[in-house]
Amino acid sequence: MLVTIYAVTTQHSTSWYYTICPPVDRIYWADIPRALFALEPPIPLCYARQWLDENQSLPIDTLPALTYSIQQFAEQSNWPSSLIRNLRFVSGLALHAFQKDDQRQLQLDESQWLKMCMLLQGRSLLITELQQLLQHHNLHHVAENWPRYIQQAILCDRVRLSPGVQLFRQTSRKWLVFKQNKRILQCSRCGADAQHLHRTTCETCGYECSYCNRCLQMGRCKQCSLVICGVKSDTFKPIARTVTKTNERTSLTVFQKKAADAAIHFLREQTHHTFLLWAVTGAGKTEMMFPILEEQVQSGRKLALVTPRRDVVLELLPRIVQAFPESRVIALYGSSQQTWQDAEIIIATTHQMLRFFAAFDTVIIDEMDAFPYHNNPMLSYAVQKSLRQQGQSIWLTATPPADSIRLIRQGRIPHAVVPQRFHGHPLPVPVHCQMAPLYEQLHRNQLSRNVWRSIRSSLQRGAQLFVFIPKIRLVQPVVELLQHAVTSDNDKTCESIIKGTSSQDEQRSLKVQAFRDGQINILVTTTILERGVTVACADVLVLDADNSLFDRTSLIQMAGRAGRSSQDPNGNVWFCSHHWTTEQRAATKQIKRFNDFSFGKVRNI
Amino acid sequence: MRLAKHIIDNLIAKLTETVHKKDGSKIVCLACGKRSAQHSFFSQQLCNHCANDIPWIMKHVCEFCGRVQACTDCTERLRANGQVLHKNRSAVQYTPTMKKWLASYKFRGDERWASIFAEMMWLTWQTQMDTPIDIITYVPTSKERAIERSFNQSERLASLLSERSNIPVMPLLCRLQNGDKQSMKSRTERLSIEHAVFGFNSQALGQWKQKSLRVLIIDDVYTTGTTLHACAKCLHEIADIRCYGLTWARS
Repeated sequence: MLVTIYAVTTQHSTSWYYTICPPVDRIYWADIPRALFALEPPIPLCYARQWLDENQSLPIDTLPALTYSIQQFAEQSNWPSSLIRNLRFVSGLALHAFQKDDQRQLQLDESQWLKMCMLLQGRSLLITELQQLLQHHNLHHVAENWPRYIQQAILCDRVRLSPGVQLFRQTSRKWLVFKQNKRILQCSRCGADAQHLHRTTCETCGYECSYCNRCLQMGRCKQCSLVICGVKSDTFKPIARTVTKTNERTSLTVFQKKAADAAIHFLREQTHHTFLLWAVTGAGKTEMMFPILEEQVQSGRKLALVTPRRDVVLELLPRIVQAFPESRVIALYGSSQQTWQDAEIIIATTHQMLRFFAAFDTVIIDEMDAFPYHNNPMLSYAVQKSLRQQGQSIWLTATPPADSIRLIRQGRIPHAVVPQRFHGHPLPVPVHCQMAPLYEQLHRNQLSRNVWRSIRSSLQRGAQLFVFIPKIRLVQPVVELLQHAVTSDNDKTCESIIKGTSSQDEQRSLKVQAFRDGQINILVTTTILERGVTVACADVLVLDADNSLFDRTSLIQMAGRAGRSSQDPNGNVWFCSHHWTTEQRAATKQIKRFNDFSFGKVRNI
Repeated sequence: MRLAKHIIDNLIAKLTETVHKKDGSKIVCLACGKRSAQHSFFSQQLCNHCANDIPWIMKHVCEFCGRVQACTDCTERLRANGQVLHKNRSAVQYTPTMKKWLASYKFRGDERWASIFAEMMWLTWQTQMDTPIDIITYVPTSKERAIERSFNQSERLASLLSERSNIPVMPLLCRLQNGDKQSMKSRTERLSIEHAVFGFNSQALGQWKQKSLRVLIIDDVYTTGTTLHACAKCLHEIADIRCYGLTWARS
């Protein structure tokens, strides 16, 4: 999309603007005594923004002088040479043939325009997304003639445009001493820097143009593309909504209640930006969220519940819809049908936050240490951007990263700890089980006797068994190894169905469902099932637990699959390995410390 | 004091940069997104593991279109129109994995794939095309689609191949009307297109008044060959041009 730069001069001052639809601006400035100067030809938005940012106070002399100065500026900041050659200023804004009849055609439908502004509040969209949004809400006229509607909204400051990839100035030092001004490119949607940007010739604008590779799956963000950000009007008043109590959130344990109260206190105080809720695996995090959500909905604040994974979104949706029948709740994910609806409570994957801008008062991030949110600068940027200026975020996790734990211990971050499961029983403590390295056992086609003893005891007590292994290609061999061990054992009680699955398995969801239903006794899997799967009566066996792929957090998560229900609170967890590594020791130590903390044996976590 | 702090900060930044560079010596594969120590033999952006899975077309059965199975379309076309497109060769078979790669290039718009595809096509060109070529051209897209996608996938491949082979690339063709997307149509629908979709771009062939030209037409996928044959027919009618086809995939 190309835009036209123009200047409006009155007797005392000059101000610069850009427009995507010049006739709208002409009408807008018609009543005010002024002189208009416009730049020809239209240029990509990225460069227009740069000119406006750096030359807002440029005095206007004569048109040739102005033309000279913009050409100088363009050459300094490396605009495409084919563009620089043609740049010139002309007086007036009659760029396109503009007759009297057009004025009637340019009439905007006021009610539709207002509706569009309402819909755009808090969103940050590309053109194709804008059109989808408008089509979804039956604003077909606006969708067809979006430039003039958007331009009107820009003039009224209801919408702000930013280029998909923007240039901005950064001061750095050469030889550590001399100041140097550099212009760098940055994706304005996901915050990617030059290493993620790819420069090619663009057929849309006709010049050299960079696009962002990092957020490509959400649509192509280019130097010449528009990102339309709806501004939330200040007149927006929170609509308090009544919430009827349902059975879902009546019984909270003492620890749960304490944590939820701490979170609500944090939200009311509004002195800090982030709150960390550290709850052990199976502590009932969703139940704890209900009082927080209730508080938010009652005070009319807009809220998003984000989680890195899609299945969690789908799992949460029915529970929250049931708990808040008066509020509009929607789920957003890759192929969601509800993408363009408006709601008070939004449950979304973290990627969807790229489509929002200053929209939420509160964002709750579930499993903040999980893939792909953890260590992903794009997603944390997206979540930060979706928050309003005074917005707050709550991080929920069972295994915070090491630096967050340090902050908690030093008391530098508001937090709450839930060291106990909802049924009040201690967490199962992992037991070390000595075995030869897995590849050796596979080579000899013989399962270690220690491991088999653990499996047999688990099967005999009627439990289902998670077997975690570090590599996808080992899944099938290990399944065969276990089958061999089962058939060679004389004990009839050990007959069982063994299946293996991994991220590359197409029938994964089917197998996981069968495992949940109890049709499979032993499921061999990789770390993909370390979170989010709840089986009533389960034991956990980690093979090759000394592998470098299993760190403290994933070991704790895997151990957390056992003993989750109140019928079978004491599951067994075995870490089978040749060596007893620091990671295994750290995981065991932390689980023990949680148990001690919940029974008052230690004061600090 | 501030300067000292600045110097220390800068040193730390430099140190971390060098550490990252060490890590950066491993390539990040475009197909699987993983870091890998070994890149494939033809491209820096693809890991060895993914490159080993490419279903190259080594032996073709159909002499005309380079298909791995025997095909009836070519013989029928030969009987009806005479030889318009003399030969077509493709680099890979259009398997689901390859489909995914192409979708990521064409529809998602990840232009980093272009160099990989062009390199694969260059390998095929060298091994399987024995006729000399004068001009490279490509299948054009309509204006609307070009604006929507912001690049023409075939044009990118053609210009990269031209760099590799030192043969000039020229926009000989233009699209007359905006048909529906080929990938949305069924096989029979595609074969039944009769009206002219492509036109000759007369400005492009200014100084090349050579009597007989050998032109290589570049496209991404050869499915039924309708597109390539329509292009070839258009060029064949205008001048004494022998057309050859080179596509990345053959379904």
